[in-house]
This record gives sequence, C-alpha cells and structure tokens, in this order.
Amino acid sequence: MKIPFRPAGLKLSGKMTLFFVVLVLAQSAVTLVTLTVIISRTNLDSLKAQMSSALLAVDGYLTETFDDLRVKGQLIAGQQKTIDYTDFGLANLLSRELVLFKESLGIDSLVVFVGPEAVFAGTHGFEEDNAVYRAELGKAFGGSVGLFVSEGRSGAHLFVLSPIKRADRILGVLSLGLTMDQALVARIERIVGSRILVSLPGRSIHDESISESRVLQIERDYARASAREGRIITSGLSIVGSVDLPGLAPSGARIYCLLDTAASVRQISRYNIISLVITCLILSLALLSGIVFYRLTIFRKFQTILSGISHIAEGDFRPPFRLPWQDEFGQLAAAFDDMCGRLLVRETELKSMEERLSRSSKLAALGEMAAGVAHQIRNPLVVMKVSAEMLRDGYTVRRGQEKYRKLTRLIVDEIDTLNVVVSTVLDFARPRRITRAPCSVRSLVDFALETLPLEQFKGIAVRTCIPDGLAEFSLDRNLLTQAVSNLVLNALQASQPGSAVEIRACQEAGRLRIDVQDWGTGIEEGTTHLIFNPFYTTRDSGTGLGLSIAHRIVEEHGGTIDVSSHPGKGSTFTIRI
Amino acid sequence: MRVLARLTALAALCLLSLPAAAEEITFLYMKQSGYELADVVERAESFFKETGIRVKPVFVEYKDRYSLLRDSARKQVPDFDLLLLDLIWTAEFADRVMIDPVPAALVARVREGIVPKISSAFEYAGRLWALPFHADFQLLYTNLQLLERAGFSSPPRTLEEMATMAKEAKRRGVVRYPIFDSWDQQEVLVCEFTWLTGAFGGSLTDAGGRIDCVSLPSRRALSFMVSLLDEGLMNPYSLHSDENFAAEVFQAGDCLFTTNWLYLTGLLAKSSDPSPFTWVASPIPVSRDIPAGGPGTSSVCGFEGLAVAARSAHKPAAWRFARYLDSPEFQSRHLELMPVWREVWGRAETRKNDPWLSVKQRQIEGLVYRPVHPRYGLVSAVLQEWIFKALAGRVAPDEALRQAQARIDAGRQ
Repeated sequence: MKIPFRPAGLKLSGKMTLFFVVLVLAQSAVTLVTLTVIISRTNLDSLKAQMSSALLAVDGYLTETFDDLRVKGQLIAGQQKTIDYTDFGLANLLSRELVLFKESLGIDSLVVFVGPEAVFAGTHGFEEDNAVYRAELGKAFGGSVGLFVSEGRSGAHLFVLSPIKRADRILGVLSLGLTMDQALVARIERIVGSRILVSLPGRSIHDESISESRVLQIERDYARASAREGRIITSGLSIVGSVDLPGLAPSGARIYCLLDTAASVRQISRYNIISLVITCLILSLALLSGIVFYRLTIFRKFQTILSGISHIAEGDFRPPFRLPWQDEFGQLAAAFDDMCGRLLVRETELKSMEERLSRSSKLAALGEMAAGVAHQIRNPLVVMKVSAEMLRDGYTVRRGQEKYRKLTRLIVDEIDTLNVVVSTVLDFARPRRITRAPCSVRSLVDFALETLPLEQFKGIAVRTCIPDGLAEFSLDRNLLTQAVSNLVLNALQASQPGSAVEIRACQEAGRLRIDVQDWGTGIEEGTTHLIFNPFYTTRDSGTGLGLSIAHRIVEEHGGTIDVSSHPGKGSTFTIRI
Repeated sequence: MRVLARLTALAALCLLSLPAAAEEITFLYMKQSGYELADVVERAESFFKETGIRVKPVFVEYKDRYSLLRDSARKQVPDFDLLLLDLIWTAEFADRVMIDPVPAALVARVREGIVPKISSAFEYAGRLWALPFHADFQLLYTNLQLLERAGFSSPPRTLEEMATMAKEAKRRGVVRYPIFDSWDQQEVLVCEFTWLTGAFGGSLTDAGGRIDCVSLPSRRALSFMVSLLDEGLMNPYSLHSDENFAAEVFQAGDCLFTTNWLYLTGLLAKSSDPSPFTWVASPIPVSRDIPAGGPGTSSVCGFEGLAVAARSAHKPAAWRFARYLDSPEFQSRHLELMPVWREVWGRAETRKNDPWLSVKQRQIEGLVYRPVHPRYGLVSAVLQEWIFKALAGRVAPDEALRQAQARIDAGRQ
C-alpha cells in the first residue's frame, strides 16, 4: 500500500504531534458520528413517545368532545324552554334561546327539526342535501342519539342529534354541530402539542403550513407503512400518527398528528457544530499545552543531552551532565555520564597504548631502517673485506698490476657506495621546510618527468592526462616534484617494456588528486603496508627510500597517499592534497 | 349670674340654630311599574331639595305588594306612608280603612284635569281614594309581516275578523299558533276576560254594582276564548304565560296577534335588536255583533294610583310628594305610559314623541273596569280558577262561569 504522506522528515516531536492530532481527530470523528447516531435515535424514540402521548391526547380529546357534545345535546334538548317552545311553535324564541346556548356553550350550530324535512328553529350548520345527515336525522326521530361526522357544502361537521321529548312523545330533534375547521384543528393542536391534519374522504382540514401535496404524501406514506410500522410512521421530515374516528360516518375519517423532525435535525446539526468547535478548541489547547510542556520539559532536557553528546563527540569524555533529574532523561544522562567515565579511562589507556605502540613502531622502523642500512652497508663492506683480505693474503704486485688496481678500485667504489648510503640516510633524516607557492600541476609533472632517466626505460610509454583548465594549487614545487618523480620512477621500475605509466591529475572536492598508475608486477599481498617504510625494497638495487620520501613530502603537505595494487596487474598510487 | 345668663343664652341659641330633623316619608313602589325606578328616585331627590322632605322609595315586586301593604296597615305606625295602589284594591283598602281619601283640593284638581274614565277608576263609595298615576290598559299588537304573508294588510276591525285572519295565517303555514296571550291563572286572566266581556258588549258588574259573570257577553267571551284554543288559533302555551312572556313572544315574531299593556310599545320601540318585522298597535276590536255607535273597542284598565296610608304620621308630606310626583310636567317627560293629565295630551311635544297617543286615546274610550269589590281578591281568584278550567278543557265555559258566579255569590272560593 502506498502511503500518500510519509512524514519521514519530521522530528520525533513533530511525528508525535501529528500522530496525536490524527488520533484526536479520528477519535472526535468517531465520537461525533456515534453521538449523532445515538442522539438521532434517541430523538426519534423521544418523538415517537411524544407522538404516542399526542395520539392519546387526541383520543382523549375526541372522547371528551363526543361526550361533551352528547351531554350538551341532551342538556339543551331536555331544557323545559326547548321542549315548550318546540311544542308550542315558538320558533323565534327558541332560536333566540339556541343562540344563547350556542354562544355560551361554544357550539357552532344548533338546529331544531320538527320533522325529517322540517327545520323549525336554529342557527347555522344545517346539511340540507346530505344523505348521511338525513339518515341520521331519521334515526334520531326514532329516538336514538346520533353522533357522526358529515361533509356538506358548508364543510365538515361533527354532529350530535338529540330527540326533544315531552314524556314519550318526540317533539323534534335537536342537531348540535361542531364545525371541523381550522379553528378546531388549532384547538386540538393547542391541547395535543403537535400539528393536526383531519383527513376526510372528500377533504382535509389543516393549517396553511401543510400543503395539499404534503397531505397526499402523508396519506400515501401512512397507507403504505402503517401495516408494517403500526400507528406511528415516518413520513419525510415528520413523525406521523393517526387516530381513526371510529363508528362515525363516513368511514375513513382520520386525524393525523404530525411532529416535525426538521427542527430536531437542525438542533442536532447545531450540537454537532458546537461539539466540533469545542473539540477543535480542546485539541488546540491540548496541542498548545503539549508544545509548551514539550518545550519546557522534554525539548530542554533533550537539548541539554544533545549538547553533552556533542562534547563527547568532540572527544571531551569528561562526564558532561551530572544532573539531578529523576526521570528517563535523568537516567539517560546518568548512563552517558557513566559511559563518559568509562571512555575517559579507555582513552587514557589508549593514549598510553598509543605511546607504547608509537615507541614500538619507531623502534621497529628504526630496526628496519638499521637492517636496511646494515644491508646497504654490509655488501660494500663484504666486497671491501674480501678485496682487503686478498690484498693481505698473497697479493704481489708482480702477479698482476691489473688485479691490484681492480681490488683497490673495488674498495674505493664500495666506499663511495657507503658514502652515498650515508648521504641518502642523512638526506632522509634531515628535516624539510615546506615553502608553498601557487603551482601549475602540469608544469610540476613535466618537470618531474624531465628529471628522470627515461631513456633507461625503453619500451615503456609515459602518458600524462591533465585537464587544461586545472587550477593552480599552493604547493612546495620542488618537494612535490620529487615526490611525483619518485612515484613515476617506482612505476617505471615495476613496468615491463611494452607497458606504460600514466600520470593523471584532477581537482576532487577542492583538493588536488594525482594518480600514478602502472600495469607492472604489482605489490605482493601482505606487503602493501610496508612499502612506505624507509629502506624497504623488493629490488636488489636501490636504497628503498623513494616511496618513503614521497610519503613524507605528501604528509608534510597535509595530504594523503594511497596505493591500490593487484599482483601481476599493476599498481596505482594516489596523492590527495 | 351674668356669666351664667350669658352661657344659658348661648346654649339656647346653639340649640335653635341646629337644623330641624328632616321629615321623611316612605314610599312603596312597584318594580314593574311603567316609570323607570331611577326616574322615581330622581324625582324624590329633587323633591327633597325643594321641600326638605326626604322620600325613601321602597321597590317591591307586584306579587309582594299586596301582602306588604296588608301587613303595614296592621301596624300602629305603618311601614309606608305613600303607596302605589292597584285600582282593584281600592274598595278593599277603603273598607278596611287602610288608606285615606284624597283631600278635597286634590279631588277638584283631578276632576278638572283627568278624563272621567281614568279618574273614576279609584272612586269607591262616592269618594276618590288615590291620585291616578299610571293609566295603563291593553292594546292589540299585530305583526304586519305575518299579516301580509297571511294575505291581509291592516289589523282586524272586529274580533271575528281577527279570528279569520288567524285561521288564514295558520292555514297558510305562516305561523303554527297565530295568537298568543297571557292566559296564565293569574290576575291577568281576569283582565283578559274583562275586556273580552266588554268586547261582546258587557261588563262583569251589573247596573246595581253586583258581580255578574254569567251574562251573555261573559259567556260569549269565554266561549270565544275556548274556541280560539280549540281551533288552534291561540297558542296553548298562553295558558302558562304572563304578560311579560307574551310580550317576549310577540317581540320574537312568534305570533300574529297579541293583546298587552302599553309598556309593550316602549319595549318594541326600544328593542336594541333590529326588529325582524314591522308591527302596529291598535285599539282592541270588539265583536261585530256590537251595535255601531259605541267606542268600537274594548280594553281593561290597569291603573295605579298614589294613596296615603290611613295611619301615616306624615300625611301632608305624603300628599305633597304625591302631587309633586303625579304632575303633568313629570308625566310629559315619561311617555312610556299614557299620561293621565289631559293637558299633556294636548301638547305638541307629546304628540310628536308618542306616535301611539291617538290610538291610546281611542282605546281609553273603550276601557272596561274589573269589578270594584271589597273582596276583590276572592272574586279574582274564583274567576281565575274557573276561567282557567274552562280554557284547559276541564269544564264547559258556561258551567265554569256558573260555578264562579255561585262561589262569588257565596263569598267562597
């Protein structure tokens, strides 16, 4: 899996901060989602419980209203005045009484019939062309009390029909009506605490906030979902419950209660935003506190330890801390102090060992040099001893003048050889003073080659490879010419006719690099570390000081000289100054 | 001594300078009377301002008035000095010496200023016992809208025509019961019977002053009443109705005809509701059998007069306030009833403010008195009982009247 962002360049503190932020954000997101789900479900459950209460309230209100209407109907129908006025044809007086009843009892219509087709007195609300009403009126003249919903041209009404009787004689029927209009809806809404929609087969009664399309949607949703979900369903952004108007005609009359969830959804969203803002604030505070805490505690201690470590790195092994901290940093500092104590002891021991090793090396070098000098001296001495013994033991001049001259010449030559050895040794031992001056590498190499007896190495090609634009370097020209000359001579001596020696020069990282390569015999394995020792040589002739002098000159320039060699394939000496 | 004399003189001066205790009379008045109670109170207050005599009005219901007056009369010091006297009690109260006759000076004034039909209502045994104050009587009230729907345009001129109109209205379904009246078993039933007897040319008192309720006019009157019920022209609920309810029924437009006291004109005129119909008040017609040349109308007196208690200690003050209250000036300001003073009738202002004045004047000509009898209470109770029985169909009209006459004659109920 490819990680889109890898904070590899961050410090540990940055990584930890980033991790913390991501962790907190993730936790916040999870908490937010969880809380939203929980709150939404709780809210839904709460709304459903509220709806159940609302439906109970509607049930109660309807029952109370029906009972109230029935009681009022019987009360008015049983009034002596109602009976008398109906019985004695005092229609206007009865109407006047009915108006008083209507106003005082909060009834919308009061009508008295003296026959199924004969209105006698009353106020508004007569459903003159309604079959349901006529049928119920007929029943009421038979003595029964009717309670029903009726729709007509004047709207929907809730009616109670009560017979007006004198003894057992039915004088008329009192029709008591409650208009099912927006006022009734508003009344139920005030009692129930939810929006109300009265749905009748031919019409619906509701306030203006509910559109007709919404009414149709609610009726459709309810018809579809009520079988599955029961009396309370969800329709759009509303919880919908319903109460049937049982036993009333026409069938299908129903009261819907609507609880709007949009407000609670908005409320939850608001809570979420507040929660998010609070989370961000807390996160910011936590980050700020963390940074302050980090700067004041971890970072400062870390810096202290880092500073101590840098001292150690610089070779100061004195315990750098000796801190009173008791925490992990304190333990780390103590461990460093302990480590430094041990390193100090080791360094002391190491210096002692180095001094001993240096002395041993010097003694060994001195031994080797002595062995070399002895070897250089012994051969002439042997020649001089034999020549002198021959002269002592029977030499006669008569026997040969030539031989005599030969013997004495040998002695003199060997003395000269010894003299050269001694001069060379003295020259090697003499301290040199480096005199630097800007110097062209090409001229330096050319000059070195001019000093060499190249004619003695016939068949060996000498090549130089020096860029034209190579800069000048501050060098001791004479000494470095000698060093290069010694290396080229060594390469020529190792090469066979037909091969070549190549001198290359370049600038490398601001330093001068000179390579001298040959494709000769190479250096035997195990002897590479000896080749710069004075008087070390694998050849019969020579002093064995050429490479030592070159090595010493380069070192005195502050440079290095390395060798890479493969036996049978050649060697490359590299000077870096 | 001199100081003592001065002090004594000063004390005497103080006592003399104190205002004398104001004389106070108590006035029994009826709540349902034609004049507003506030007007009476205002009149009493203005009287006090003018005379220094304080008048304490006591307002009672009609039904309580008789017993209160009887109780008051039994006391050494009566509860009421001045009282509103229903004309039917005149003979009884005079016989029992509960009231004083009107002083001669006032009698002359009454005879001069009030028409005999009214002034003689309070005469008994040759003396006048009260100042006529309320001249109340009944008129015929017609709902012109219903009348028009029944096919007629003007009120009936005879009782028979009234019945015909009612029949037609009933036939056309204009109204179930065209006539409504106050035929409850109360005094008003006697009033109704009285004017109906008059409408058939008779009276409840014969020429000798004897009660006669079995005369032909009386019998025809009761038969007419029963026939109205039988034919469904009179609302049976009338048998349970007093004048006030009958007035309500007419006001509501639930009947074509009713007869009622004058106050109904005021009620109809003052009705705050827009009247749903037009109406007219007219003299109550008489039977077509009554010969022409008479007044052509019949009604019953319902007069009230101002009388002074016989045992009152403030008779001059009481008569003074009676005269003050019963003045043409006061009556001309309150035309709800018929003013008793002729001079008020002649005023242009009266004619302008009372559109029914001429009708009332015509009706006065046909007024009929209820019997003047010292035991009128008993007479009335007997008549109420037997007339009501006849109306309720429990006894035939003639038999009912015979029974009533017999009991009245026997002096028992």
